[in-house]
This record gives sequence, structure tokens and C-alpha cells, in this order.
Amino acid sequence: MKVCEAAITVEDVTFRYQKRVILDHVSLTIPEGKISLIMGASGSGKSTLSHIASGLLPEEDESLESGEVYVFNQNIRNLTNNRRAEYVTMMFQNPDLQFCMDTLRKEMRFCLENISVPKDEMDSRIERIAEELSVESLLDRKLFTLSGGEKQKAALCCLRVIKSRCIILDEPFANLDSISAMNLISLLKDLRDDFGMTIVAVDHQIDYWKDVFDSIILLGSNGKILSDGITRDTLSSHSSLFIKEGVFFPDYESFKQNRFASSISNDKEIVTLENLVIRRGEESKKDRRRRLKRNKRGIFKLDEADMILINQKSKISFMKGSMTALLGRSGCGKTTLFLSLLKQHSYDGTIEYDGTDIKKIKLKELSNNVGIVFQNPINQFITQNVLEEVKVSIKLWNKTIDSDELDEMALDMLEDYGLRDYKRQSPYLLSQGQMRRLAVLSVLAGGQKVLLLDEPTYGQDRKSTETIMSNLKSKMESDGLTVIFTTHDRKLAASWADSIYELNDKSFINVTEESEGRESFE
Amino acid sequence: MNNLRVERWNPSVKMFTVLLSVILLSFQYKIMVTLGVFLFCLIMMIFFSDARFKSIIKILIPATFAALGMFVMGLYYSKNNSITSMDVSDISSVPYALRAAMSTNLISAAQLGSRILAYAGLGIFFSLTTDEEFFISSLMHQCHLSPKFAYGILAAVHLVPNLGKEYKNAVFAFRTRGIRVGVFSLKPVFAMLVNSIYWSENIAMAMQSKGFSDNESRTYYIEPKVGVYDILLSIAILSLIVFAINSAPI
Repeated sequence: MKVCEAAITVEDVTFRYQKRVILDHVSLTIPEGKISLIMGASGSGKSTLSHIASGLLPEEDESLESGEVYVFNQNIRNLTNNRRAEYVTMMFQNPDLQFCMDTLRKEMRFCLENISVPKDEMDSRIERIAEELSVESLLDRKLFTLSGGEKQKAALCCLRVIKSRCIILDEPFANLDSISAMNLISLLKDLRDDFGMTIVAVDHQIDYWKDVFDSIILLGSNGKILSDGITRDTLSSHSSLFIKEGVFFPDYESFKQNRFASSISNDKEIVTLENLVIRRGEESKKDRRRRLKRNKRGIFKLDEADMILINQKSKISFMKGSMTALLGRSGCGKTTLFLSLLKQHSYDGTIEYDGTDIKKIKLKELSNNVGIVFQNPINQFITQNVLEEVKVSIKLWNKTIDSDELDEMALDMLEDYGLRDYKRQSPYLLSQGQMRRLAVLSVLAGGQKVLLLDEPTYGQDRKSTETIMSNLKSKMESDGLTVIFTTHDRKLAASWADSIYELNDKSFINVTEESEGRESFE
Repeated sequence: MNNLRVERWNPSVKMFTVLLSVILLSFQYKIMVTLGVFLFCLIMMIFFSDARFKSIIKILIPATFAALGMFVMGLYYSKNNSITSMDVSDISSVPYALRAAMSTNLISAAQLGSRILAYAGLGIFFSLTTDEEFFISSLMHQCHLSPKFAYGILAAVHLVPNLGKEYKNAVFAFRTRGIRVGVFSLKPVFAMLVNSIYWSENIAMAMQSKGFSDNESRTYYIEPKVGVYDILLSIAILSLIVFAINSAPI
């Protein structure tokens, strides 16, 4: 292989999206055979930059306002998709939306067809890569039955089978638990060490990467390069820059407020769970028969015990006006628990809201009291405009409010969340981080007494995380709001939650005492 | 035995054969031919394909009802000698079967009913014995369908299971935000459609990133070819139908 200094060179790139300047004369170089991280505050254009570097933007009928992109010394504009894929490919944030076929084997064949690999070589190449990344067992399973981590691994396989020399990852760990994320990291590290692959990742947090990355590129607004080539050795000297930009910095005690600062307003139980058993999916008789049949044939085995997600014998109480964090591996049933709390998923046992069994509460009444923010914010929006989205919620709860006051209130809220400039935009066109903030905001604008938040701060920079959490906190103090949130981020849980539960082996264990935050606090 | 499966019949040739058969059946009214085609389809599916008996029955039930409906309609409202309501009331004491047998419309009723069965049989035969991916790659190779459409269709087909889930999500989102959603409300449908546009953009990007392009040459893992047997089978079936049309008495 020809030794090449720069894998990707971005030269003076300016890019507009609907009149808004996203990248303003950006130049940077990604070295070959290294793991580079692109970091920056939410909305700094990281994602756009990665799409441009991988040749996916501008789309066919658009063009860059200025500048050129080179991959391995070739102008990316002159490369057709199939030639470009041998140099650079991209892995996306949403593991569900990366495949066009239904099994990994077929998807890998599709990739090989794209780059015109002769038919006879396909099978051996697929087998070899599957063995290399130890995914043989996934090859013929339907992709929609795989977990998020498995899907991302499958996506990586596809890029590997193309023999792409550079892989760009756009927030690859969204919605992955830490174990899957660490697996993926070690896989990426092997690809760099064994095959000299260039890896570029866009991420908000260094935590997962801190032992493997080679350099960090820190972006300011409009993609301005604030610092290029921060290495593991020089990382500590850049802490002030990270903090100024509102980007997460490892081991920085960023959260000023702390759970010990607030006291629980009273000790009234608002939500209690007892003898709770929640099963995976709602299994109809037909599905059950099918599952047993599959078990008999030995494919994709699921025993009766595997069907149970949560088996909670002891009673758990969520106190009024408190904040509770739920930790646990992804897919372990945290989200399903939320669905059960809102009567959207069947369960055995008792769930009580304010002393009444929720089975006796009408759904409408229950949702007037309990709100939810989904993991995937795109499921949340009900209007076509950012301002409207917040106004709808305020209006539902304050029927008498006049329109000027309403506008003002909504704009103030948007301002807090750094979304005021986007008020006329469609929620669907926001960046991932912005979408999630809007989703939290639109529910927070309502008057529900209990909020369930599913990974509310994923993909947020430090500043936005702090805004979200402190807004929740102040609403807890002023309105007696009760917050229950799930997270993968132990530090976040330790810094903000009054109590922390970990879902381990199908039941919740109170880990408030032993959590990291407390130790560091004392 | 495995060589004798109709699944192996080239899907494009199969499609044209089925289409031509439908056209041939449209211009004739012989009960023996229509019933013959129907039975032929059933036999092919049961003995020479991997189609599940259960799914055949499942689709046949509504088809049978439709055929029965046509039969009854033909019985009472055919062009010659239609039985007026007066007649019916006059002889209503006669059992139905006898009345039907007495009717000169019996034949035209059977013609109408059996045609529905024949069409249904052909349709089920094609859909249950054709693998969607094999069919689409055959369309690419034999009918010059552009890969862009072909893989677009495949990606869409594989997303269908998500649509229902997405609709449920949308309804749920509205409800939890305190907004009422009726059974026929279009709001969640709209949200679902907006989402699916977002999906399609994402998937298209992922496909491009993996080197997919519309105009560049590509290799194919599955390359359906039209062999002598594919054509022979098609000719045999069509000539049989033509022969039957010409020689069958009714």
C-alpha cells in the first residue's frame, strides 16, 4: 500500500443549508492510520463536516460554496460512489437505517456487488470478514432481530468487506450501552493496529475513546477549527478550551449542582412498583407457538426465562419531587418499564400512581399526569415548526393564556435551550442534539406531575446537558415535579439524581450509596 | 425433487406467462378451461412448490367468497332469461338448489364464478411461488429495471415491518402529549409519513456510502438467466390453455 500522509484533506470548505451557513471556510487534515476524533458543541457542524468528508454531501444537485475535499490525494468530486467507497465509507448514528437488505450476508453481498467484486470471490470474502470480526452467528439472522450493538457491528462488517481505507463514524454509540460501545471500540482499535485503517469519529464524549484516540479536532461554531491535533499527552492542557466551548471533558466535575444540594420536598410516594413482572413484547399465542417451534429447531433460542425482562419482587417507590436515575444495559427493559408505566405494555403485579392502581386510571387521565420523552426524539414531534411544538404544550395546560404571552413564553424557553434561532424550522431538520433538546422542552412545557425521560442527554454537549438537567431540577423545586430518567452515563446519574437504581439480572437494585458520585463527593 | 420446484422458474418468464394466461382467459367463457386453470395452479402449488398449504387456504377463502358472490349474481341477473323478483317470489317455496338447477342461468353463473377462481389461482400461484429478491433481480436482468429502483424497492420492503410500529409510536406520542387521537385521525399518519421520508433519506445515504451508484457497472451475486426449460414450460402451459379453449365443450 502506498504510504500516504493525509487520508482526508478538507480545503477551505464553505457549506450552506437553506441559507444558513453551517461550515465557514473550514480546512483540516486527517492523518492516515490514526483514530481521530471530531468534537464540538451541539450545532457546530461536526455531523455536516463528516458527511462532506465522506462525499455524501453536497447531494448530486448541490455544490459546495467554496473549497475542495481530497481523499488519499484524489478529489472526491471526481470519484464515483463505488470508487469512493474503497477510500472512505461512513457508519451512521441510527443502527436501524443503514441496511437495504434483510440479513447481514445479503447486505455484504450488496456491498461487494457495488464495488464490482466477481461473484465467485464474494462468499469467501464474506466468510473471512465474518470470522475476522467474529460475527458468523449474525450472518443469517434477520437484521431487525439484532440488538443495537450487533447492528452497529454488522454495519462495521459491511464497511470492512468493502476494504475501505478510511471509516467515518457519526456518533456511533448513540443508544448503545457501555459494554457494546467498548466492544466496538476495541474492534476499531484492532482495525487501526492490524490493517492501518484510518478512523474518524464524531462524538460528544471522549470517555470511550480516551485510551485509543490519536488526535482530537475541536470545532467551534460554523466548523471553525479551535484546536487541531490534541493528543493523549496534551489533552490535559486543553481542558479550559473544552470547558469554555461547553464540550465534555473527561473527569471534569462539570456539574455544579448536585443531588445533595436539593432536598426531597416531601417524602410522599408518587409512583410505586411491586411484584412487577414485565415480559419481552406482548406474546400472542401464535408467537409463542412459533417461538417454541424455533427453540425445537435450535435457531434463535429464547426460553421462558429469557422472555422476562423485569422481575421485581421488592417494592420500589419514587418519591414526589425527587429525581431518580435508572441504569442498565440497553435492551434490558428500561424503556419497556416506561411503556408499562403508561399502560402501553402489559405487565403482572402492581404499579400505583399516587396511591391508585394505574389499571383503574383512564389512559387520558394518566397521560395528563405522567409525561414521557422518547429515546428517539423523532417520534415525539406533533407539529411542523419548532415554535409551534412548544406552544402546543403550553397552550394545552394554560387554556386561558393570550397569544402574545404565549409567544413570549415559548421564545424564552427556546432561548434557554439554544433553539431560538431555529424557531421557524421544522423539528425534523434539526441536528440530533437539538432534536432531543426540543423533545425534552416540549414535554417540560406541559404541566405533567411525573416525567419519564429515556436517555434525555444523549448526544448533548456539556452545556446543553447542564441546561436540561438544571431546568428539570428547578421545575422539581417550583412545581414538585417528579423525574425518572434512564441513562448510560453513571457520572450524570451520580451528579444529579436523588436516588439511583440499576437494573441487574432482571430486578432493580438501589445503588445510590455505592455510586461513584458519592465517593468523589466525600 | 428439488429440481422440479416452480420457484426455480425464471420469475420474469413466469410473470409473462401468468399475464398472458389472464388475457387468454378474459376472452373465453368455458367453464372447463377456467376450472382447469384453477386446478392446475393448485396442483402446481401443492406438489411442485414450497408454498405452505396454510397460506394457500388463507388467500383462497376470500377468493372463494368472491367467486360465490359472482355465481349468485350470475344466477339471478344474467342477460337472457333473468329471473325477475316476481318469479322468485312465485316459486319461493321451491328449495334453492332446485331453483338454481332449474334456472337456465346456471351455466353463465358458473362461468362468472369459475373465472374469479381462475384469476385468484393464477395470482396466488405467482405470489406464493416467487421469492421477492429473486423476482427483483430477475426484473433487473430480464426486464432492465434500473438497480436504483430495484434496491429501493427491496429497502422499502424490508422497512415495512417498521411502519406499523411507527404508526403506534406516533399515536402514543400524541396521546402522551395530551392530544386526542381518534381512530380515523390523520395526524399520526402524517407524522409516520414524515418519518418515513427521513428513513428513506438515511438509507439512501447509507447505500451511497457503501458504494452504491445507479450508473456504474456492478456485479451480481444472483444472476437469474432464462433457460430452455423456462421457455418450454411457458409455451407448454400457454398452448395447453389455447388448445383447451378450442376443444372444450363447455
